[in-house]
Amino acid sequence: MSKRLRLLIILALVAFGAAAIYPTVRWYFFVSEADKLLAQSSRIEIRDWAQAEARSALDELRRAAAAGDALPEEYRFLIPAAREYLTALGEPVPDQWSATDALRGFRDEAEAFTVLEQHYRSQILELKDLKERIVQLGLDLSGGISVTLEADEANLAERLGQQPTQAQLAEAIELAMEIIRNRIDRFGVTEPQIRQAENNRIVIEIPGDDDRERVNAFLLGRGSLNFHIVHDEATAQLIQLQNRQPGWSPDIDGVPEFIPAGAVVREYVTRDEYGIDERVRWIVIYEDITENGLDGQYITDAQVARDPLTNRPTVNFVLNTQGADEFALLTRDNVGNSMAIVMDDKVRAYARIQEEIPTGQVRITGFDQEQAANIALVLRTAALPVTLEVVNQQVVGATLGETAIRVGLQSIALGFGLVILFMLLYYKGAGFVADVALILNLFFILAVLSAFNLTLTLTSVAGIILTVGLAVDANVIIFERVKEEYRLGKGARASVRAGFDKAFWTVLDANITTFIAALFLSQLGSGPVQGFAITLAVGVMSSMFTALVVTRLFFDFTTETLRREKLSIAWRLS
Amino acid sequence: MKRVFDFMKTRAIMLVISAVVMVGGIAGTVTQGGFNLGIDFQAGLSLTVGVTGNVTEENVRAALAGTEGVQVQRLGAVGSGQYVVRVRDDGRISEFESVMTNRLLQDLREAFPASRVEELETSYVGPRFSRDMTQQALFLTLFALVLILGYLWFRFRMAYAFSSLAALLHDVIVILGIIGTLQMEVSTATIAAVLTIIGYSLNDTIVIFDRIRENETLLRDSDFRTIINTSITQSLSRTIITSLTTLLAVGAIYVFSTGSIQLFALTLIIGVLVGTYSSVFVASPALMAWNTRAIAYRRKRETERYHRGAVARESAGQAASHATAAGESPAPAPAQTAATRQAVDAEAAKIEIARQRSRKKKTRR
Repeated sequence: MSKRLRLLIILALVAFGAAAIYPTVRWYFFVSEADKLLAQSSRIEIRDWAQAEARSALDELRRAAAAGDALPEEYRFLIPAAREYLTALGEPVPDQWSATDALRGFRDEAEAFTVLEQHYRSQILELKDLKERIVQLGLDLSGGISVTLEADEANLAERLGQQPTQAQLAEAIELAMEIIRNRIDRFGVTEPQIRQAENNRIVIEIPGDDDRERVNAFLLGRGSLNFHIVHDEATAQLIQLQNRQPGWSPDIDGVPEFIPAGAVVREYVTRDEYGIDERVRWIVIYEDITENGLDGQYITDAQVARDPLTNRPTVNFVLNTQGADEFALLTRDNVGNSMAIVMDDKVRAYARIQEEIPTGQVRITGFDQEQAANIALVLRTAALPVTLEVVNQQVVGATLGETAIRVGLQSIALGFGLVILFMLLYYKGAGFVADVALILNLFFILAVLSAFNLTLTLTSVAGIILTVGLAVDANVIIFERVKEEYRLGKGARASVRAGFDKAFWTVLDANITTFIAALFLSQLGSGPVQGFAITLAVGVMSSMFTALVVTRLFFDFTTETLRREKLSIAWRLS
Repeated sequence: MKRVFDFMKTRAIMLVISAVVMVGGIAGTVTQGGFNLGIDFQAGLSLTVGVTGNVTEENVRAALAGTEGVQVQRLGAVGSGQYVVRVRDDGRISEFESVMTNRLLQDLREAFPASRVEELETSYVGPRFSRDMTQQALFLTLFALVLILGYLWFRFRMAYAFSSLAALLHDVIVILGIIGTLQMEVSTATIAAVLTIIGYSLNDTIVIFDRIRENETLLRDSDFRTIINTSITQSLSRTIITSLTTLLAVGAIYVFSTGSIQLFALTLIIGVLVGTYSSVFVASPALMAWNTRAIAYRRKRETERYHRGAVARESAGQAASHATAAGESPAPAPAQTAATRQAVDAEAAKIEIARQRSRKKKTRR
């Protein structure tokens, strides 16, 4: 391969690496603490925050408009949208934007509100996306979030029809832990710690930061799933209210008076393309599930299917005998009303009951494929053997202690520095090349960790240390071979070629065996061993690459392009 | 050529030393009741305490340092004054929960007389590393070892594969023996350290084996012992420099850090030394022993075949009174006609060529 091509490949990889590392660097060094905190909250919270911001911004604009002030600096992002609207209407576009002009640039305040909200929300959502692409620090290095779950014994007793024995309870918790473990794996949360505690509790500690969204994502199905009849009248009124007052929320504005007793306001959410809840609107449902609803525990199965006539996705679920009877009664009494599927106090779907459903075979329609799959999943997870409740959710600090980590990281850096210095002193010019390769190695490892959003723990740091050892070793093997050839009296160019050729298989064999070991260990579910193995596997690949390609290129460049006759590789050789 | 050190001369002594260390390590571990398992592997107490006043996380850690294997984590934001303290239950204290809770609270109250120390919650938690995971880890490690063995078999020869495995087992047993005998706390970091050592040791062994394989063709006339000695000598500078740089990095960590990171570094230091030792004094003698035996076996088989060939030819020709036993001596029987002798020589040459070919095939790079 020509030197130019090799150089291009190296540069391309470095560019990829830089692109992969960029989010991590930006997150840890260029994002303010307040924004980080905000980005770690759930999307619903972000939405609430954005709406509150938008409301105060709208108030501010109204005040400024009433006073006849110019458009405040921080709202200048409204101008493009306003200009577009004014141009479309054929009205003159002002040179100097006043607050009144800016408000006039929208059809109504609701639209201005939407644009404002969009602006604030996208700011934080962008950071949230950024957070998905960074290297997280593990529980031992930076702490994380601790969640305590408790198994609901009463609920289990109800399902079993008797008080569960100790063995049954233990088995149920064991099963629940297994389910959680699988879910955590599926959601890509690396290296969580799951322990069983007494009193039917499970303690989960998730590294990274206080991101309730993630926690809720994999504890999905922990809570209740029920069918509720919708209070259609109150819902219609509430929808009108929400249209009049964008950003309306019962938490801020209070529950309106027209909501009758026995009914509650719940948010209707759908999953957006990120698989995260987004509120569509608030609706009113009957609170009790004995008269006006049904417990979800009767569900035995749920599947996504397609309507044979319209070919649109449907969710089909099956209820057991008892559930089918109750469901038949419920639907008979409520033909023409809507029924909502409510999970953890959120309405996942609601639809009009067309007719009595007597068989316990239920078909609901009106979603796209994605939504249908999600609802089916939600219905299926209702079958979690034991209901778990979050009793406690808190941020925990690092396991190792701040001083220990700081000193530890400093000493690792020092050790690394010593190695670099040693190579430089021992191998002179070649040592410099090895050092460049070594630094490039670290860079590649961090890039890959970053690209796959992996967690950095003490054990992965161990993997990095071993990699440093292996990377140095590969270079040492090569240099010693080159030196041997050089001592025999060969020229610089011939020595480099012979040395590299002879060392090639040694380096390859040594690294491939390590790579095999690392690859297998990385299959180990989640946990500290996996972190170590992934780092090592990545490190082995990059150390082979840096030793055989990058170092070689340096040598070829000096001996072939610069036509140096002497190698700077040892003290007693010249 | 540089002077070749006779590394194989001391192999008997080294074998004894290795055996003593391994047996001693196992004995030391067993007599002390097995490994000193940390909180990651054992059930234990999780105590949430509230400490008022101007007390930092580090203060709490320092105050509880007297209890072995204690883990302190801050709960909530910095300055919340709430901490989770975890202590594993090693089964030595009866009524562990109440005794340990009281002891920890006592320690905290003594350390911070001005603060109010409150017990907020106490619970008994299971180990973080479940039995399932340990089993899975062992299974995967074994599987990986088999695959590595297969790779070495394919790239080198069976003798090389099993010799490096011997060195690997030696290292793991020695390391675990030392950890068990010194009762160093076994944490997840220990697992990482042992895995690191496996990787390092394997790497070190293969570099030397690679040289041996190369020299097998280059120094075909020398005996295997010389080949091994030459190879180790030739890669000696590399062995020393690599060990030195790794020790430099790990040594710095050991000297300057504290707690579990320091323990981790210590395990690595021992591991690097043991790993380097084993590739020279365990893997190479094992390879040599295997090879000597293989050569003896091959020679025996060839002699047998040689005689069988002679028998066949003789029975076709004349009376076969002398060809009774296939002895150790490869010398042909005296009463042979020139024609038979020629045939025998041709046969022997054929075998020799075939052997060389098969060897060449195996050592092909």
